[in-house]
Amino acid sequence: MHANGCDERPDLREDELTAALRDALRPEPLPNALTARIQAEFDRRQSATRPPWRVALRVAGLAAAACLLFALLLPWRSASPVPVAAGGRASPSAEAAAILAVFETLSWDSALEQELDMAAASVAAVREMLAQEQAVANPGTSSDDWDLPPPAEAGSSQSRAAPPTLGRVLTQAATGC
Amino acid sequence: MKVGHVLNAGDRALLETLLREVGPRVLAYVRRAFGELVDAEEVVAETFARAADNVAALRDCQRRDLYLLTTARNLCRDVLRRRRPEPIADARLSQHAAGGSAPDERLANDELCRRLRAAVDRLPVPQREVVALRLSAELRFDEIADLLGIPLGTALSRMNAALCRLRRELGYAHARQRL
Repeated sequence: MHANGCDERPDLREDELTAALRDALRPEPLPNALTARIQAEFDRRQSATRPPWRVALRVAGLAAAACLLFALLLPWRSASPVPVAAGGRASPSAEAAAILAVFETLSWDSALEQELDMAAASVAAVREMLAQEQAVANPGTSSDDWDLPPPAEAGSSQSRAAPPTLGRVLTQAATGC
Repeated sequence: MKVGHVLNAGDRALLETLLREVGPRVLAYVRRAFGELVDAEEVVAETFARAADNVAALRDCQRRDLYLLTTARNLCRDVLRRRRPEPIADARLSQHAAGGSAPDERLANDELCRRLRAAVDRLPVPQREVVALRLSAELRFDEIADLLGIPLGTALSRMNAALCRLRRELGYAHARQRL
C-alpha cells in the first residue's frame, strides 16, 4: 500500500489508466454556437474601429474651426487688453504699444486742438501787437494819473501837451476850463 | 452596452488563432475541473472577451495558453466565490456527463469512458484541477504548479492521489474492459 492509501493493483497499469483518462478527457472542439458567439463579439469590437476617413474628417473639422476662430478674433487683437506682467506692472513693450494705441485712437481730435491752440496763439499775438501800437499812439492808459495836471514843462514844451484823454475832456468840461 | 477594447485586424487574427487552438483546451479544462459548478461555455466566452480587452498584454505574452487558462480559472473562482457551490443538476450537466458534442456522442456508448468521466467528476476539486490541467489542457507539471500557485511536489502528489482514487474505483472494470 502506498503512503496515500492507494493499493497497487497489478491488473491495471498506471500507463493504461492514464491513457484511458487521456482519451476520456481529451479536448473537444468548441461547439459551433459558442464559436459563433465569441466571433460575433470579436466582430462587434472590430467594427467599432474608426475608419481612417472619419479620423481625417475630424482633423479637418478641427482645423477649420481653429481657422474660423482665428479669423473672428483677429480684429480684436489690436484692442486687446494690455498684458500685465506677473509683478503687476505692464511690460515696457506692452506699455509702449498701449500708448501708441491710445495715441492712434485719439489722434483725430489732437490736430484740431493743435489748430485751435495755434489760432488762439495768433489771436493773442495780434491783440498784443494792437495793444502795443495803441500804446504808442495814445500813451495815456488807465494806469496814468489822468486827473492830475501834466507836469509843467518849460517853454515850447507847453505846446506839446499830451493829447486829451476821455477823462481829461470830462474833467475840463466839468470845471469849465 | 459595453463597447470594450477596439480590435484591429492583427489582434483579431491573433484571437481567432487562439480560439481555434487553445479554446478547446480551455473548455475541456473548465468542464472537467468545474463542470458541475460553473457554466463552462459562459466562462470560455468571458475568457476570450477578457483576452480581447487585454489583447496588448496577450500579444506580448509568450505562453498565451497559460494566460487564457489562468483567466478561465480566475473567472471560475470568482463564480464560486460569489455563490455557494451547488451542483448544477440540469439537463446540460447530464448532457455533458453523457457527452453532448459529436466526439462525446461517439464515445457515449463506451462504458469505460462514461465511468471515467463520472469518477473524475467525483474527485475533490484540487485533484480534479490537476487532472484536468494535465490531461485536458495538456500542461506540464511545472506549468500546472505555476498556474495553481503550488509547489511542484504538491501538484505531483495531487495527481498521484487522483490516479490512485480512480484506480481504486475503476480498476477491475478497466482491467476487464482492457482484457
